[in-house]
Amino acid sequence: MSDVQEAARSFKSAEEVPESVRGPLGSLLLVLADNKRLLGMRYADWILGSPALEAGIACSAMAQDEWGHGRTLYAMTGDFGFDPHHLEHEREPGEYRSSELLDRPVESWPELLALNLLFDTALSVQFEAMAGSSFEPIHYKVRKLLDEERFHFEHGRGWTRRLAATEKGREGLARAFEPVWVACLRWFGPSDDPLVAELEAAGIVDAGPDALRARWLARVAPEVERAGLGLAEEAGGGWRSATSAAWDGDWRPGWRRGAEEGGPDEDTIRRVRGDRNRSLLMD
Amino acid sequence: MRRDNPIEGVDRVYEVFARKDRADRFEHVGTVQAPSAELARVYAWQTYDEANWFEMAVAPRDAFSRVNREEAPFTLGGAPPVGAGSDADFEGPAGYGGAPVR
Repeated sequence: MSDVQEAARSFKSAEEVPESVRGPLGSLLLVLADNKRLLGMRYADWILGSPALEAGIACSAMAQDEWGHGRTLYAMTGDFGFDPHHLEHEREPGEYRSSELLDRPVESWPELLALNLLFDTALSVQFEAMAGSSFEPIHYKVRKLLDEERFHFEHGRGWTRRLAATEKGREGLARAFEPVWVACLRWFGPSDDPLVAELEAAGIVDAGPDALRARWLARVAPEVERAGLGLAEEAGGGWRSATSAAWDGDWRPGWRRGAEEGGPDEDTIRRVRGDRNRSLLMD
Repeated sequence: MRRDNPIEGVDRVYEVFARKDRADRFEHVGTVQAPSAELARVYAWQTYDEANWFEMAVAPRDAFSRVNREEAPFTLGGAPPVGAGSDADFEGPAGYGGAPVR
């Protein structure tokens, strides 16, 4: 809202979005789509074998939700110079823009909770920043998505509280949450992220990386504090993270991850791409 | 001890009610087992998703008062509720407050 000239405008379709903003917006949509898709796969891995039958059902529902969100987002990228079919079915692991947090299968329930409570919430905070976006076609989608995400957050919170009630559970949480915490802080990008600056100036998002980090902290810090994980502390009416994020020269703003090689594991990508159904795919 | 196991915890049975329309009455659609009302809400919403509910609510089974029968409501043949004793016996996991749902 800071940039009066741009914020006053709104875009009824992708064609109306100024050229300088189209690239950053397309990147953001793709980053979000890839994260949704990979996160869905990580939830899906726990449909069977989670600690309770009900938790398995929850993982199934969350996996379906994430894939639904992903599909919507991939479809939108088509208006920003991408080929959704190629994005969904024809990419190599190194081409995915999902967080490095999702590169490997989740080994333990506390790790899944870390993704559930911390990273899924980071994605939701990013979507919330587009609830009143100048890019109007996204309004309804964001609203519907956030409606579903409310239950993802409650699931993560409920299980975190449950595990935090015991010494053993708390230890598991502490081990799992620490690396995810740092990666989430980083995921919003450095304060001067050039792509986010374009998006903010055009009113596509209503806040930049620092403000989004603060919103994310406000959402998750009370829970990790309550769980006694020592990752954040109250400071002047708000929350301060015990660690801060760092971005080295490898950080790619359009990817929200570093340039390290790899990406998600091959097996996951085969499943994500739907390789088993390739012969059935119709254009 | 069971309560020291972070995974097993202490579950309670929650009865799930829902209605499709403001004009409808609530119907009993099923049960979930959960360690807290919060997770019971999540489980209920995600498990009983066969309709686009106008409203859904959960209540712990042991919060119901018997009126004309000896056995608790929602039990078949008077079998005890799964996984939980009476309201008075219930304790949440240590440190979680364990507040029974009002």
